[in-house]
Amino acid sequence: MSATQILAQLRDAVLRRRASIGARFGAAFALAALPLAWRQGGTTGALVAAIAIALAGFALWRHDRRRVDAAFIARRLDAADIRFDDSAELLYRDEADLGTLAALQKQRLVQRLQAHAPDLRPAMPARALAVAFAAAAVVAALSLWLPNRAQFPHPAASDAAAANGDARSTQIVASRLAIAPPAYTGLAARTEPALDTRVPEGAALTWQLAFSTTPAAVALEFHDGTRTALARDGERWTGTRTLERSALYRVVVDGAPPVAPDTLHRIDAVPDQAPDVRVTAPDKTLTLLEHDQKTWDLAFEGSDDYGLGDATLAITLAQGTGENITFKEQAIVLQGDGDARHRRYRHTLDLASLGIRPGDDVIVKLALADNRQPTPNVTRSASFILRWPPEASAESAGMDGLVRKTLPAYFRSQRQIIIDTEALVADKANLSEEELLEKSDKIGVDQKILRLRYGQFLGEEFESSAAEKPQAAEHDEHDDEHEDGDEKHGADKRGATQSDALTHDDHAAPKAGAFGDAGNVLAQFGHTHDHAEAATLLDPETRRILKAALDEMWQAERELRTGKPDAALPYEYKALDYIKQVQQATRIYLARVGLELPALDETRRLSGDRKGVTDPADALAAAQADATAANLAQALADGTTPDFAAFDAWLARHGTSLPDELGLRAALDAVRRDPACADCRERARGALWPALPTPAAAPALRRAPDAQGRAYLDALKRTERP
Amino acid sequence: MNASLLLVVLVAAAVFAALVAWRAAGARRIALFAVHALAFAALYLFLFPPPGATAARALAVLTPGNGDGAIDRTTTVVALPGAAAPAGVERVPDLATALRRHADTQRLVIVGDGLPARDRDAAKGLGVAFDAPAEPRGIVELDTSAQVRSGGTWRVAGRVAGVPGGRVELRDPAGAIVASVAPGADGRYALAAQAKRAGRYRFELRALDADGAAVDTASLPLAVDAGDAPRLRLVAGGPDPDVKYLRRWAADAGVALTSRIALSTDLALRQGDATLDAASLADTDLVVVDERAWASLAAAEKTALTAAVDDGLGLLLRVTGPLDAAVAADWAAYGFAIAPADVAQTVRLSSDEASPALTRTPVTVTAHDAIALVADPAGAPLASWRTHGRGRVGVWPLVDSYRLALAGYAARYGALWAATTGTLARARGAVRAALPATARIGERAVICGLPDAAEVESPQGRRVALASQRDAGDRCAAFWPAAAGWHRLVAGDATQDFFVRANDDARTLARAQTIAATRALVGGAGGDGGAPTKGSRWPFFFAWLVLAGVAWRLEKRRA
Repeated sequence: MSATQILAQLRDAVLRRRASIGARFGAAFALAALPLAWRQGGTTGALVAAIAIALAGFALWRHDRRRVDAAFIARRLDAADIRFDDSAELLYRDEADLGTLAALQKQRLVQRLQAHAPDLRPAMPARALAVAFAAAAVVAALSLWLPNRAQFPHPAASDAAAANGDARSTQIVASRLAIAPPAYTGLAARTEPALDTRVPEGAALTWQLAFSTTPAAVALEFHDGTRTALARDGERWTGTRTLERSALYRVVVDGAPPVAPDTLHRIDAVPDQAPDVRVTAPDKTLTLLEHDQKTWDLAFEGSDDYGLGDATLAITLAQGTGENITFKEQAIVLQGDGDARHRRYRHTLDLASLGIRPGDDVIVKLALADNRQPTPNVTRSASFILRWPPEASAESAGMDGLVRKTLPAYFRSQRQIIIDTEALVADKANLSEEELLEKSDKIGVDQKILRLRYGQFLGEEFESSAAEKPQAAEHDEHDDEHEDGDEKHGADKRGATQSDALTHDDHAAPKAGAFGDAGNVLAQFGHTHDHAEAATLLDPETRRILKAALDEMWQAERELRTGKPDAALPYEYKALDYIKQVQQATRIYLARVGLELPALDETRRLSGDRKGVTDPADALAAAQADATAANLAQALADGTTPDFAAFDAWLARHGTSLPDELGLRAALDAVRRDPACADCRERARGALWPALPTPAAAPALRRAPDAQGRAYLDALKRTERP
Repeated sequence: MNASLLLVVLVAAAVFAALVAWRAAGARRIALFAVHALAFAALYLFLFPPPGATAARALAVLTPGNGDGAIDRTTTVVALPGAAAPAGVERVPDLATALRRHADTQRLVIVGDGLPARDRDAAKGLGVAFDAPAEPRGIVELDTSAQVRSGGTWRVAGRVAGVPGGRVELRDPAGAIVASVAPGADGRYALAAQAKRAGRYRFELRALDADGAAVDTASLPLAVDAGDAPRLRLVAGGPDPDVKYLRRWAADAGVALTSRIALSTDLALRQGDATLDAASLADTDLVVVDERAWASLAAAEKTALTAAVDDGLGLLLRVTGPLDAAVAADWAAYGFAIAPADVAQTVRLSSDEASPALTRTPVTVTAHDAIALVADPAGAPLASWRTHGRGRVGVWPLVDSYRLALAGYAARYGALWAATTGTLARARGAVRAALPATARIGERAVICGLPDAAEVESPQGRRVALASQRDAGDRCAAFWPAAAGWHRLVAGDATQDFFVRANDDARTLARAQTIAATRALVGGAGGDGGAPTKGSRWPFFFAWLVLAGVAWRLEKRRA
């Protein structure tokens, strides 16, 4: 065999030996790594590890082949056998390149090589391999017996109790709050991860909570005592609630440790604001009608936070004056232009179609609603008045033919009497004296009734007083006839009393007048049947005019009943004039009912007698402010247990007057849960501040002067100028 | 070395050198003369070295807030706790320790915010140089009313720095804004609010910049005391809305009111015992009389009143109409000359246009020593008082102060009458101790005006007896608070509350106060330069050595 062949054989042998050692070590490594990979990553992990080890092994083998080259073998030859004289690299060199001596040496080496090729293979490291395999075996055993994370069982329901018993508190692992605002607002539904939020009023809230333990039941407990139970949906708990008012709530679980941290969550409900109305035209609340104005222009602007609804214009026509006002109302729905949140409304009122006359008022008011469901918020604008100023009252000394509609029914009688009297006067020539007297008397009786009707306003009784006697005796029987006729005439309810009054004629004589009884002259010398308290009260001016009218009527009646209608006419006219003046009076006062004044003791009045007058009880007492809030603040400051029940009742009544009622409730809730927490008490006291009453300013006394001060003041006094 | 000694030394040097150099000749003589003279001077200076520069030993003190200012390393540097000190700087627990360690310190150079309160006493007697940092931004001065009664108006005033165009807000314990004001050009602000019932409250003062962002916040503790209950006697010639509202205020404010309102001869509305005799007047603190009631008083009642006023009673004379000559003469005896005059009848109490205008009787009230009770916005007195004996007499010409209550300013009405009552009523209030305006943990708080035995109760309930000492008539004690919160001073039956701030409460205020207090220490007597240290003498020795060598060389004969 040639040297080259031998060298090649040697090299292959070395390579093989090295590869086999590497493979053994690789096997040991794989023995350790593969079970571990299988445990960690399952079958895929083991396969991946195996492929990685194989690739690494292949790469190492290729590297080894390059490493074991000619120089390597030459060195190994030199190290292995002393016969090669440290010159084994000559074997790889060409003889042509060598010098004489080197070639000679090479030949010698070739011979020796051919004679005996040493064994260059590295020794099999038995002990190292043994140790490696032992270690690998240990690692494999450990990895096979360690718990495998990939094969962890899911917590089964049967383990729930065991798992819950280990945990001391339940955590909310995940939370989601879906907010669906009411449809009319036009807001989009949104989702929030936090449990505190602001939502529009009436929004539907959906909670989704996941916990670290498995409770049996979950509910949300609200501050007003209501509960919303959540239903289990797989791993999550869901529940829904529609929120009308701001609320505080807490998550409570059953069958599991309590939720920690036990925060009180707050959801603020933003209320839907009522629409905003601004009146652009007219600019004054009271507008006087222009001379030739036929229409009235109205313009409004409305805006709302979510959307506007109907706009109704209420038009009221007020006709008449004083107590005789009639109203006619009308409502028109206006269409505005603009978008849902901002609109302008215009309307032109046709005054002629309303039927406005001098002295009338047209009042308009816009009621604007928004689109809130279920009940819209309505805002009413201010009322705007268009007034047609009344004409100045005309002097009317006679019948002017204008019968005003505002005349009360009974005021018409005076005109009727005048009409009748004038007709009678015109007809006088055709009548006999008896007929004239009869007719005139009839009219006279009408006039009497009218006079008595008016007299009621002055507190006189309806029937004639006993002092009144018919002027002509021959008319007595006519009186009776006419009295019966009166009943036919009169639509008066007091007809019965009329006849009664005329029949009774004895009245008890009054007592002798005592001092101060000036008003009793009438009783002394006559008697009255007045019922002053039942009278309609008129102001003095009107009373005077009415009295004058009654006097005229009395004169007219006298003339009429004595058969002189033409003499009665002037009196009738004057009476009508006065009555019309009374009609102009716009105020008539009525006596207050229920006022029971003590009877005036006329004997004591204005005499200065104070016998029996007692001290009245003093009505002045210190203002008692509601002390519930103050007591709670005091208890919080002292460190004692406050009376939460009483304060809850107070808060239920007055809570809406506080600016942040929920904040106060949350602070008090914290104190309730942890009575020893001084910081919570401090915060609760701060939150109570708006509820505390403000007392009256209390004075402070000056510090008493000491002896030196007193001596100073005394010295001042002595030296004072007089 | 003074001038005469210098002259003597120079002359001696010249003489000596001349003697030595006499024998030499020519140039050598001059050279020898110069060298010998200088050597003489050097030897003299070696033996008697001139005093060194009066470099009084200075100590640089780093205080909290020094930031990254340059530190002069030539002087000794110490750092107080809380100061940012680079490595290698000696840390001391307080200034007294530093002065003990560096006993020859004559001057202090303070870097940072300044010395805390405990160290300011140690700096007395030393020269202090302090390069004050810029004023911190926020609330730098804060003062509140000393004593607030329930329902009364209390004021807070002070200064903010570094917030141009901003606002200062006062927030109540619930966090709502009570009052808000824009500070003036110099940063001064003043706010007022009404107190509720007695108790301890924490208000908050917030300084905002022009954009509305909060720059600084300081909590404002307020201890409201219950009002005293003065005894008021009202004698009126007729029912009056003013009388009615005064009685209502008195009933609500807890004033013990007795009144007699005449209705007619021998007919009056009475409440309580309103007789005017010596015994019952001794139990009254203030009597309010108007001129109609005065005209109907008996002579014995008038003398009893005068005697009681001499003894300390307060008297308020209400002028509701023209005065009789007799009434005017009686009142002139109290020192007030009241004469009808043509003065403006409509007056205002404040420049606030919304508050109603009041009416006063057209009289002029002259007294040579009267003090204003109520003044109009221009400062002219509307009602005034003067002392009479031990008591006080006031004249009140306003006829309708009740309009304030009618218009909704019940708080102002109450404050007006509470102030009037407090000024005029008999002085029999309890002595109150003067509490520190600002107390902080770790700082010495001084409480003055104490009775003999007083204790301070901490928020945790621990009681500390105060060791007080009488100093110029006032008994004072010092207190070192250890905990923050409401403390209570207990002196017999009376208790007063004061608040101790924590270190992080109102930090800007604390910094500003430290800077101001340290600036007040600047200057100081730094001693008279201290012991002059001797300058070094060895350079002169070497100079003499060199000069002697040169002289030897010059004198050496040519060998």
